[in-house]
Amino acid sequence: MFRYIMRRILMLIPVLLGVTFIVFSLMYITPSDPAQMMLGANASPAAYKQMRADMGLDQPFIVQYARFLFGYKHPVFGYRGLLFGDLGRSYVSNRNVFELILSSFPNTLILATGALVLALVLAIPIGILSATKPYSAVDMIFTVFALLGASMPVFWIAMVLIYTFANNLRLFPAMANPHDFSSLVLPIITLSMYSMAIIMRMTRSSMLDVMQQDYIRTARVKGMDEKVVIFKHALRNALIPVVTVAGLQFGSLLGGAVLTEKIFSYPGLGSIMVDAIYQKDTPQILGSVCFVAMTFTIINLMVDVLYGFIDPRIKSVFSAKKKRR
Amino acid sequence: MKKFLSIALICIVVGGIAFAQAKKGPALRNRDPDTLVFVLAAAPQPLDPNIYTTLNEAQIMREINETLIGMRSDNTFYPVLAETIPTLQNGLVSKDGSVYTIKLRRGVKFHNGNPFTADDVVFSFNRILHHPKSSSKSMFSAILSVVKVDDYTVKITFGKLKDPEYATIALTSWEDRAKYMTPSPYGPALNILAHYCSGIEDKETVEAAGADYGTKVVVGTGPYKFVSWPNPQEVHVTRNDEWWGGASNVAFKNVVFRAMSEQPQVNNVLITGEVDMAFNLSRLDIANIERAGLTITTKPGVTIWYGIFNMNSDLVGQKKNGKLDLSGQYTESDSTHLRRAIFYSINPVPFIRQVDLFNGYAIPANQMMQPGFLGYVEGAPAGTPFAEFNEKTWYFNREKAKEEFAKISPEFKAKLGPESVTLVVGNITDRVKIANNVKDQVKTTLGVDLIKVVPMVNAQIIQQSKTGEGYDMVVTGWFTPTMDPDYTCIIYNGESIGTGMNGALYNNDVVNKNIQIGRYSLDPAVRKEAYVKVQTQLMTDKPYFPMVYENVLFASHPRVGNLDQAIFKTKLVDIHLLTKLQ
Amino acid sequence: MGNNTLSRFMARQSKNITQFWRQFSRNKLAVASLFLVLIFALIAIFADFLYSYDFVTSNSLENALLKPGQTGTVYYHDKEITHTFILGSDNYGRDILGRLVHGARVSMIIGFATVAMAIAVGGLLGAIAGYKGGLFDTLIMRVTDIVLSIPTILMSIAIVAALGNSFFNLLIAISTSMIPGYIRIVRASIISIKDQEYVEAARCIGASDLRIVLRHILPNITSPVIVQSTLNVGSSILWASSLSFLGLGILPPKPEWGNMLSEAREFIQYAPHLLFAPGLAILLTVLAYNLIGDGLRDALDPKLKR
Repeated sequence: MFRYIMRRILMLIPVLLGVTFIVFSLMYITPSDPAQMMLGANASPAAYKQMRADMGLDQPFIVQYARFLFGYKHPVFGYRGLLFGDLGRSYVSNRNVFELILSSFPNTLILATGALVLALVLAIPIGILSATKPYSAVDMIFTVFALLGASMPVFWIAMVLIYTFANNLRLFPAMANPHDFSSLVLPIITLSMYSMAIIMRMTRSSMLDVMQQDYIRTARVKGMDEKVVIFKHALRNALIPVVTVAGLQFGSLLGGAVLTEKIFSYPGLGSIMVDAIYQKDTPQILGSVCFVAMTFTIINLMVDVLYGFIDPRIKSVFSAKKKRR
Repeated sequence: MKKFLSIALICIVVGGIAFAQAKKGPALRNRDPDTLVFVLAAAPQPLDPNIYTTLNEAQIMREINETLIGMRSDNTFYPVLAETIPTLQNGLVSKDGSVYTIKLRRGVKFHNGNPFTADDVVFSFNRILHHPKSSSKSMFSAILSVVKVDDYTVKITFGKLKDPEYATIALTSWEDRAKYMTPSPYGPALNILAHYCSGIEDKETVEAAGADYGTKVVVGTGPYKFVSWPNPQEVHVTRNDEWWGGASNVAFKNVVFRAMSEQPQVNNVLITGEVDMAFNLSRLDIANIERAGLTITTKPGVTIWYGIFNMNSDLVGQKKNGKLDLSGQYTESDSTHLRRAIFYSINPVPFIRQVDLFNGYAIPANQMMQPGFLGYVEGAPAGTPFAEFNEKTWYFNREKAKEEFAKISPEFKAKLGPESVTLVVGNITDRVKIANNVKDQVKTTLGVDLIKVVPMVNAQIIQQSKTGEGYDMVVTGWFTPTMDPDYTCIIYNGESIGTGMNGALYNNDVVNKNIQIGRYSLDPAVRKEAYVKVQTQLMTDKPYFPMVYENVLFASHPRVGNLDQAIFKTKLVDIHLLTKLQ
Repeated sequence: MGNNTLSRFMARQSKNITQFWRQFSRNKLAVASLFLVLIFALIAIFADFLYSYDFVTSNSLENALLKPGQTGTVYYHDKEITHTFILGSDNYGRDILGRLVHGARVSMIIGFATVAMAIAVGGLLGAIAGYKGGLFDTLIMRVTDIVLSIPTILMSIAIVAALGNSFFNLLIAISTSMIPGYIRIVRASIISIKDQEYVEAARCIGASDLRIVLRHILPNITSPVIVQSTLNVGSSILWASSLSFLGLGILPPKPEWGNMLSEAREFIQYAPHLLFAPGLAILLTVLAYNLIGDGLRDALDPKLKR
């Protein structure tokens, strides 16, 4: 088990290198120009050339990429490189990239956790209810309601919520802030809508699947109470795929909070990343995307491990791999 | 039936909530009454005025780092860290107009207790001009030297390059300046000394803090001092109780600056009372904001929205045998006629009325200079190109546009298919809206959908503007923070070709010469005459179409008072002048 | 031989289709959704007969923000015409219903083109990975892992920012986010089937590769791919609207539901009718695709057949 986890963590390294390469390539061809942006209006061509040389932007692609990995020596723009845990400072905010990530990531984490919890709390019971009476009116209504949330653009949900609950009813503020729980209500609802639909759908189909199994039929034949059958026998097995989906959703919530954060002007990592792309703030975007990718992979790993605990059959995977080594 | 009823009930509840009546009046939601919340359009850059220039941090910096002198909306000056305004009359400006002697205010202390002296002034100007990251080098490039006379006196010498050829050399030290520049009077001298980028910083602190200055350590002499920057979108400052100007008059103890880029959302937080002041609101909903009890303050601004015809373009430019043909009298060609046809097809007045664009908070522009500046031509004097202008229809003239369009030769017309003229525009909602309006007006007037709108990031437009490749027209805006015509002239000065600011690649000897006259003279009459000549020449050649002057617009919570005095033409606010109403 | 295999394959499929329809039609929501989608598709196809494209992209600022049902005079092609704005007009005085009709076309194209691109690329890569195995498999799956670990919305933003804002680049940006899904589905299905006894048996008795692919592999891939692609058509339309919100979507004046909704967002208080129509169109379409997808999943899943 431990070796399995270690192996997965080691596999993170090539993935992260790949992520930096893809993101760096995309940023390299983005037409924006940080040197021009830093210089401001009416900079002379001489000053512009000097600035590009100072920032290392006049170098070919491979040199620039290597510098991001192994460091760049310069009194003002220098840094030790990603491999040594330093990407230097953001072009725009002049802050240490990792400090900035560490200060904003917890905010995104709060939002994503809240959204996931809300999604699970609502989606699982609805999914079960739908699955117990498939194709009935109840099923239809719940399905449509759950899917409604996944059928509207996120910004549109957010706007309607703000308009109704902040602007008209004055129940919640329109601007989110990690220190005030009431301000997090609307963004959490907004963010959870999509995940809720996915999880609800997964619960329903997985539940339907389990209900077809022989042992459930046996339990029913034995004359067990339907509630006992559902909650004691079916649910536990039906929840296994739900855990996977929830884990994947959590990963995508962390990265997908971009729009929600932007609308509620929430100080999370997502809005920083979007701004950084527009401004071609390469150090900032590389650092943030690496960080999110790492979190995403670690969450997936945790889900896999959790999986082993829920489903005893899976444990053999870990031991089988151990044997092969 | 039961199910149906319950669905109906849910619908009624949801509908009821959605159409519930808005409560009247903004409340202070969970907020400290001593704290002013001010909305910025984007996350601020570091609070280091000598190095960073965008408007967002300027609003914060002007409360922290004071300049030597200050400027009012009517272009008059008042001393801040200087004791008096240097003028020729009081002898603090040398006879030739190039040397300004500045007596510094005594007894002023930085927020950390360090005394403010001449060393800090020299240090700050050195950073502006010679720090590798400084973004205001070009604005201050006319400064030849800043010399300490004693602890409370500095001499600032202005100058110009000994030879225009030297423009290709990056001046990176005082020695370089002395070598390549010669003393000269400089028209906008006081304007740039009043610009927020020349805010004075504490030498000792900046040197000690290194790269962390501006984000973790910020020190100035101003009425507010830096507290914290908990996340990129939020900056907290608090009142400097030892401020030399008298802290007791500063009404708000704390100020929180909050960045919000979604305009409709700014309106929402104003209405709900979560913030106190904002300028980047959606103009569409102003009536609603006023109905909610907020105060709207508006003033003429210093932003001009205009269009550019690329002189290097084959379609609308001015070329002869493949070369730019602009000096003096140029020959009319097919591209000249097309340029005029497009010019006369446009009418910006409907954009001003368009509720989701300017919604009335702008005035039509008749020239490439903002009203109130030296050399601005008022009205429509007969015998000048301005005579064709009127407030209702701008220069729009359907007959003239068609007439010019008819003059185009058939061979040239064959090139003018739908969307054949490329109009690039920064990908910001308002700009794209203006560009699409221009496209549509040309289509309606000329009957051909000539223009293709291509949104781009601003940096790319600047990059293309350096050489004039890849576009025929641009729609953009210009903001003159110094409030001096010289800064507006950058966009049509032949010198700026290659910097990306002169996107038209316009290079006319009359214009260039008069810009030089205006820049290196201190006499308002001489400067005015020169700038009038510039504008007249511009509107004759029509390489630009000035569209509108945008007004400054602020919405504020009813508890904030004294807005008229505190709000500037340049979208900046003197927060320490605001008052608190009950 | 090949031809024979193909015709038998088709015959089998037609029998399957009747069986499938019986299963699918049990889900009334899915059937209703299918009809809705067909109606929208017809509108999209015949958009030009309902409104001229030129008309719905021309501004007439005098008619800005008319309420539904109001009539205005439009100066169009040097003529003044009287026009009734059934769903009102937008901030440029353009007919909302007309834009909605033409927007249906653009939105549908986005939905189908992105999914088609994703299936083509993802299916091919997934098939190579599953069939060839070995180095190909490792390489393709590693790259998929890398792409999956970059948040999809950021990937799309970065692609549009890097390549520039055009219709085709938007399609690339959206379909990139879907490709890993197809790679995984196709690869997993192929691996699970490739080594089954009956496939090996077929190979032993000398069945051609085409026969193996058509008879054994394709049917097993089609159902998960169909389900996934139906769901993706909806999410692709949503995706385009989100990119519009960030200023990276289809550029106005070209009508597209996403950009109509995104452009109208500041009118929520001022003129709510601007948001109503495109919002409802997106909602219904995406919902319909989701419901059809669910219906298909239930109908195609052999385990659920009762």
